Amino acid sequence: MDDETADLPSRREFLKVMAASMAMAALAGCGEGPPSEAIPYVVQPEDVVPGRPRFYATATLFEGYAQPVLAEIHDGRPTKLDGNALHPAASRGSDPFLQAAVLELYDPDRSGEVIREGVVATWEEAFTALADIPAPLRLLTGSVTSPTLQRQIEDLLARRPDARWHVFEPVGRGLRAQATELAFGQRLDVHWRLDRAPVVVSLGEDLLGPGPDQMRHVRDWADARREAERPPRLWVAEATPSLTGAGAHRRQAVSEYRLPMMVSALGAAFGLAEAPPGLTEEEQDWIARAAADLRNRGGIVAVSSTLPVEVQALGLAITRQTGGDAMILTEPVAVPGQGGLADLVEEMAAGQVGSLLILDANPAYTAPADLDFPAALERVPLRIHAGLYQDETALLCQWHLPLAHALESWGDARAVDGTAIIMQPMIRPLRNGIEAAAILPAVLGQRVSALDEVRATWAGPLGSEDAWRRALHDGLVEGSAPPPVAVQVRPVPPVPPPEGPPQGLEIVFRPDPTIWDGRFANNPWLQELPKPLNKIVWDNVALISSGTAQALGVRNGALIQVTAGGRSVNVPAWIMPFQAEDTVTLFLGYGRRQGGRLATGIGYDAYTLRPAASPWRLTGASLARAGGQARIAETQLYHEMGGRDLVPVVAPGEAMPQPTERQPSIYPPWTYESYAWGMVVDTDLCTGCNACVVACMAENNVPVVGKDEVLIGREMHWLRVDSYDLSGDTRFLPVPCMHCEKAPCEVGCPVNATVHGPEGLNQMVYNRCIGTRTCSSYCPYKVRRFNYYEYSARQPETAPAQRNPDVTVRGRGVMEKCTYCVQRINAARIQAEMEGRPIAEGEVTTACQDACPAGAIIFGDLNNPDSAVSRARANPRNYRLLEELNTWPRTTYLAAVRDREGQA
Amino acid sequence: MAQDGPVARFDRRLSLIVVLVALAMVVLSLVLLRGLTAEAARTAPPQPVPFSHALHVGELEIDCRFCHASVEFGASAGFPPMTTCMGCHYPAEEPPEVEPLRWQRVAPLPEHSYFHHGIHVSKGVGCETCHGRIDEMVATRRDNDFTMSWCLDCHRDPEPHLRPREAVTVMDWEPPRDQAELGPELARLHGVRDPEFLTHCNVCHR
Repeated sequence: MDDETADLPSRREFLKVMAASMAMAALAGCGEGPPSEAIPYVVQPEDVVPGRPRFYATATLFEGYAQPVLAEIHDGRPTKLDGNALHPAASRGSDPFLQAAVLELYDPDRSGEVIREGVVATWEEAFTALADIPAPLRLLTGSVTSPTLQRQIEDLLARRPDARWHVFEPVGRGLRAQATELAFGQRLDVHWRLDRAPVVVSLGEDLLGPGPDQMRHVRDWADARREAERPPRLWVAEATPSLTGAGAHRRQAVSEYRLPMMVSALGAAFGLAEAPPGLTEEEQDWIARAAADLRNRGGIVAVSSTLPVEVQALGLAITRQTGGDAMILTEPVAVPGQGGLADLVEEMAAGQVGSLLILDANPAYTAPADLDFPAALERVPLRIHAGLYQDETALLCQWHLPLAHALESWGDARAVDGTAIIMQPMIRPLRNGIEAAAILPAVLGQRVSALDEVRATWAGPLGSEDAWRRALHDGLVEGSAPPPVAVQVRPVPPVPPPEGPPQGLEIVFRPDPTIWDGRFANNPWLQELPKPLNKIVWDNVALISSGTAQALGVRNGALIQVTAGGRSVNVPAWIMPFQAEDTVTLFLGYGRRQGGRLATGIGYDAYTLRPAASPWRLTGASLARAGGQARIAETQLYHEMGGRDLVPVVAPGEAMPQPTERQPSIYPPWTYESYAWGMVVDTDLCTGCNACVVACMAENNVPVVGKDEVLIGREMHWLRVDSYDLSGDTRFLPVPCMHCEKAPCEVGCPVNATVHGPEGLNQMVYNRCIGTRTCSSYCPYKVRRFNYYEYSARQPETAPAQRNPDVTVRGRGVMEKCTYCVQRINAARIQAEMEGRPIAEGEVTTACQDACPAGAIIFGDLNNPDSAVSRARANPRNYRLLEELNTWPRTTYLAAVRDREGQA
Repeated sequence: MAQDGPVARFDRRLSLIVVLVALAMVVLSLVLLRGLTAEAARTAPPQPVPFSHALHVGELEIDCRFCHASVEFGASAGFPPMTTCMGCHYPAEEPPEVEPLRWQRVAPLPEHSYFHHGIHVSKGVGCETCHGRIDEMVATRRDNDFTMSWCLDCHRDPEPHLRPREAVTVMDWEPPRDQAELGPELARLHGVRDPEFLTHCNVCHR
């Protein structure tokens, strides 16, 4: 044997020879080498270390609410956002919208010029036009929490008696404020403290789902569950499945029409309402058990803000009895305007509006279709739109003014808890936009800078330079949250009887889980982010129950025509488990006509069916087959476990069955002398929010591939969150690379491009990879992604500015996958070694771990028995994914916890 | 088995020729490539100002770290901002409002390689070890190949290249005693990892 192989060149030598000849061939073709210029500062700011990122606190905006941000800046470029841990609304983790906001900053389709009648104009001309704005003036904004904008608007209204301020938020908080007025006699914000509620009863309210509150709700929910002897119970009745329903102790699919009856029945159990007739036995059982739980353990009743005010008021009244300190009431964080959209449109249509200034809103797209906003808008002599994009509304206005992005702006805003944040620019405006706070005063002929305006607003509490700098540094104004309000209990008004059995089907409208009301439609990370429950990307579908689908004779993706109120829209049908019978869910946000290259021309526009009088629910709808099949891209093709218990469930305090001994392996053992990195994911805490997925894309330069590529299975996400629908609930499984001890990929690679590292990492060596894809076919977890085209080169010209300079931008024909954020491990190791000390526990965190609001991802050194990850490994709930394959994965999971008592 | 006909014999000869020609091309390209990289390494690129390391380091004996200020702790050694130059050349003047200088890099690395100056300096790798006799260069040029195999020469056997930390910036450094004895001592003192660790892929590639 030895004699035969002695003369053959070794594999390494052979590759050297091959590489040399390939290099010769390549020499002729390639001109671009590594960057050859070094451009130092003229005046270098003190304490700047070239190549070392700096971190600053600021905020991005979501429906007017501040999202507390800690921004990572590389050489002046914001590259990554995380939640600001100092801020009470984001003390852990983030959400997908916060993570993705950094890409919006670099969006090449963002508006950059002042436009008058379709022609580029100057700010000078715009300011002149604003100063001469004719009466009667109407101001239309989205939800406003900014104290500076509030002050400016009040000033404007005081000095221009003809002016009125209208607020329109397409999703917003529904009728919550009116409900509190009915229940407590004043308009209030309701803050749910899920960490203080032993029982949570949700009637249509998506507490854990996407929205401005998601971060704090998921955080509190996780804190209440983590290793709890008696984890809190969640009872959910809902018309269409939500992330809240996914984690329910017992979930009940109830049509939106029947939800008020459910609330009444629950109220009856507490002597607050009359028990309604007509509930099914199953529903009555659900109510009885939930009520008993509430009575025994105490807790909250969260009623959807989209239900009638009397119904919500009843829910608030029950919670007053049972909630303890889990419901906190404060003055509203968002400033109430003087009117809504409907009354504005009425005035506009009657020709009573002289000029309309639209600040950061897009009513031409988001207004309910029956208002016919565009027609009313044409009757306004002067229309000025200020926004991030030249959207549908900008097109119908004579003037369009580009707004600066939140990361380019001076400003202020309050987070959902009311704690204010002073926003500071992370970068000079990339385009010609300015802040809203610099535009509004122009109406009064004032030319101001946003910074001066913000400082003037905070002259009292942040008057001293020290206090101002501290607020900027910490990213919050200490003590600026409104204090809890003590309220008088009022007698609960009776819930009006239902308007009779509904005719036809019921449509419910929901914001899209990743692009919301359409405002994020041009963000490729959010477009390619799988919708949490059905993993569809780049599209919206209409959810129907399997019963409805059978009656109609359609399968997933079939085009159906939804007709209601004399209007109809063609939508792709999608069968959804846990969807209430005879209920169709339509998602807002798609079908954009203007507003960016990615946003336009995909999906259907649900606003065309949405009625102004009842924006969340529409009865009397009919479905018909429209013929044809839509091509819907999804990243998970089936949501069943196929007989494998991939996300097992244990009872509280119960352990996973542990294998008595490890199966033998033919592969040699590894030894780890210094560190042995490992990860544990707690599936009990994961709510499927997807923040980790976007964080991974931002940190690791993961490219977006587009719908066509996803359709043929070429998505590039290094981390995916699988969802599995079971009989009782939906469970989520975040799947990064397992970094197996006995990794099948390592033995599969013919060129040693994936190798085992000395600290346990399964290393991917891009410059060795020749793209045979053997490793991917050997990987049982399917976490390896092949770069079929140079996807990074297909991104817009501004995208490279966002990229993390510490991570290679992969080229074409190369396999890639999760690295456990090896760049962060290396940075920590280098720092520790330069200081002559070991890496401390908690010094290395992965991007997904930082992003997780639930704290469900734990990463660290398995060689350190005291590390969080070692302790998590020792947790009796610890299990390995597909353990029977004997890959010894380094990423392990903790089983979900469900108590089955009283469930069925 | 039929005997080989003339066509089969010709085929065999042809394939032999093809193989020989291919081999010759490979050898030729290897030779050429080495020549090219060596050539590139030795050429000083044109710079925006005629800066001489020979003057600043060799004659004036300014320490490397005076200008390359982050070399001890940063990934990048850092190019001096213009105010550093002005500090000596026009000491009394305000920082000028000028365009920054655009230096041509002498030793750029490929994008998929990540080099950290700080860790090398703290382990006792001298500036000279990679950058050569900078104090003698009027026009700065690359003094080594900066190829992966050249990096690995040291990562596989770091001990002959280690110095006491205080000698890192010294040019033309001579070990005070036998390097074969000093090297292992310094490796222990500076906590230099073993070659197996230093040659794993993720040390430089990520």
